[in-house]
Amino acid sequence: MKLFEHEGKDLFEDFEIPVLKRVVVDKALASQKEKDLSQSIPGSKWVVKAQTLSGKRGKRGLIKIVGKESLVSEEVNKLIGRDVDGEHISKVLVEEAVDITHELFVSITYSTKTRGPILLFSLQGGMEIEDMVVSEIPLRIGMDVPDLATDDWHLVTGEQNKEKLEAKVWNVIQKLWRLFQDKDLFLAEINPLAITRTGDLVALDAKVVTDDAANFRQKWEFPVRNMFGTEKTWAEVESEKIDAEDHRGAVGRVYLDLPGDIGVIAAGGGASLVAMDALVTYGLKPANYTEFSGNPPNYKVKRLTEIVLAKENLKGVILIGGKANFTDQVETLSGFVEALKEINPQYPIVVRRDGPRMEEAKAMLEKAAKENGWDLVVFDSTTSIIDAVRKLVELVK
Amino acid sequence: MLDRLNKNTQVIVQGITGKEGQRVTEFMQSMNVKVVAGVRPGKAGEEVLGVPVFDTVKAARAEFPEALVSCVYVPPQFVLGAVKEALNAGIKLMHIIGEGIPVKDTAEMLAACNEQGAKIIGPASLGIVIPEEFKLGQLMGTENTSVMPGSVGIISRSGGMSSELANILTQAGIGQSMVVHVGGDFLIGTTPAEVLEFFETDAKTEKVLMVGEVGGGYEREVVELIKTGGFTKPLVVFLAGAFVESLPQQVPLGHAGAIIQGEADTRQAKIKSLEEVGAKIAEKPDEIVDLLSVVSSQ
Repeated sequence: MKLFEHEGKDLFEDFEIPVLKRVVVDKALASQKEKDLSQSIPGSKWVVKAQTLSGKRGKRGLIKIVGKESLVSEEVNKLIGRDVDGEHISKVLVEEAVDITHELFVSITYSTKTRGPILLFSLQGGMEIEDMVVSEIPLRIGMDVPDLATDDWHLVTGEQNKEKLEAKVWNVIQKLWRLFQDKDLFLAEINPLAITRTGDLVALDAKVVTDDAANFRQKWEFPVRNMFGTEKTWAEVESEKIDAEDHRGAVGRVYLDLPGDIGVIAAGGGASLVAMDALVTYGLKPANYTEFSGNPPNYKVKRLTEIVLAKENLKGVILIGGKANFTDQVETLSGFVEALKEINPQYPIVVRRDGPRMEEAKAMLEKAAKENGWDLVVFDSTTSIIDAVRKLVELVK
Repeated sequence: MLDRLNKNTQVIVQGITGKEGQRVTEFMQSMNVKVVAGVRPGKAGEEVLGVPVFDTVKAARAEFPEALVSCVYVPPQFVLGAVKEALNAGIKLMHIIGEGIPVKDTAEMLAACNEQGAKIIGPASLGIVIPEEFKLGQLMGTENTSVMPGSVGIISRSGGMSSELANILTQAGIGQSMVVHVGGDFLIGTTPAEVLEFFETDAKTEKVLMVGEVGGGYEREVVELIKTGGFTKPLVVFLAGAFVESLPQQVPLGHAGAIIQGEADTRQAKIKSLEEVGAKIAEKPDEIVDLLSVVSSQ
């Protein structure tokens, strides 16, 4: 899960990584008392930052520096509630502005090259990562951050203070590394890590991604969000409930509401990406993306189908997957049929799937289609995924 | 280690008494694989599908000292411990099916394996199949006729696509030397480039089909390997992921590995760099069979 800057900074604070005094605002400021933000953040300059999950906020005008108290609330109110590039701004962070003399870049994540954690470090922070000279330092879980391997500290701070600065920076990185390990993070990035006029270090931004796979041992209390960082839709919330009390199979754990009109139920990770690629390539617009895998009981697939088909103005539905190794096709596809019987859709339906008991499942689907007058086609793996998608394109047009 | 897998390879199943453990045992037995022992603490002396159960990997190996390969079939939170146990008992190749293993645990396992000269296939892998000879894991289930012996090596990041494509090739009369599902997680123990290195030296393999996904740097390693002469046989590549790139933001879909991490990892960039080193790219799965027939060994 991607965290907002203010959430990341709270985590930083818990691990004693220096951050600035700040206030999070979650609604437009009306009364004078509400507007008095600068009271809680003393100073003469403030930074007002929209909380979004997508980057490049500075370039998009979502970060404002304000030099007058009265303007703080004005800028907050301009940002809050706005929709930018598909993201709704529901929170704004107000921070004291500090004078800085230099910016560093620090990022800890996992690398497919070293196949372990890695520290990316640069003395030239604050700019696009493509423009920096970045050193890549492999880290080892349970061990301290090694030497930062740069001889250029004097360029930042002069000969006299270079050792002191190096020690200070190492210290902050060591704390970030501890946070990264303790909280099972996938990414912990500070860009920039600023050096203030008084020689202190401070994290001016926080980019944090948690590892969802570790949620069984991490108790996060951040508000739920979908993959786009916005509030979850009805379908996204409902699909998540399917697996809550019955661990058999994985059904609807991934659900994305999309702006199109083709309902999609995918089975199995890799083949489903091929199917989505084909849908997009042949000009159809998916209304959602969701998947099931493993060996779920039929009522779970039924529920997932109900959720997908609940969307209005659908033009077609496709249930698509590869040849399963062990998923029982009669069990899973009978759930699909039961939901169709309830909803009785008038648009084309394409099923492409294979695996144990597919022949029986195909006969079951075709019989139900005949009895109920559905425009339904069933393919097994002798028809390629691409051709199954093409069939839907043909039927929808 | 891949070169040592054959019909005589002995396999230990960790977590054999669980539902998944039993199923994988059944799948391997369907290809007459020598599953010699199972492990489950507290269940020593029992039998699962005719396989004796031991309390520890060490105890199992005391009885079967030639067994150097294990299947790890325990819940995600216990995988790291199971791998450490296997390493301490001298296991040299572990297959991990589990999805949803924290990346930190995987990193720790890989570092430990590195130190002890052992390898992991996975996590989130369905395993390896040598048609009519050997199976590690549950690839193809009991449907062993979806594969047939031949000269095409298959490497895939996706389990579903591994079975799908092996099946398509078999139907087209193209046999396979080995099918390896390396796993879909962000960090994996055996990378596509490492499998290619094996295929380079494998006499049975004449050409290779590789299925990649958007995201991660594993295809870049393949490009480097070919550039430096580490792989010289004909290679056909199929890359999924046009849909993910049509989405507004980073969205992990299907597998954690499908997170686009910067320009070099996009589909188009990958296709371009692979084409530059001579790989043939199948834009759609339909084109794979034709491309495999066209490319020939030097």
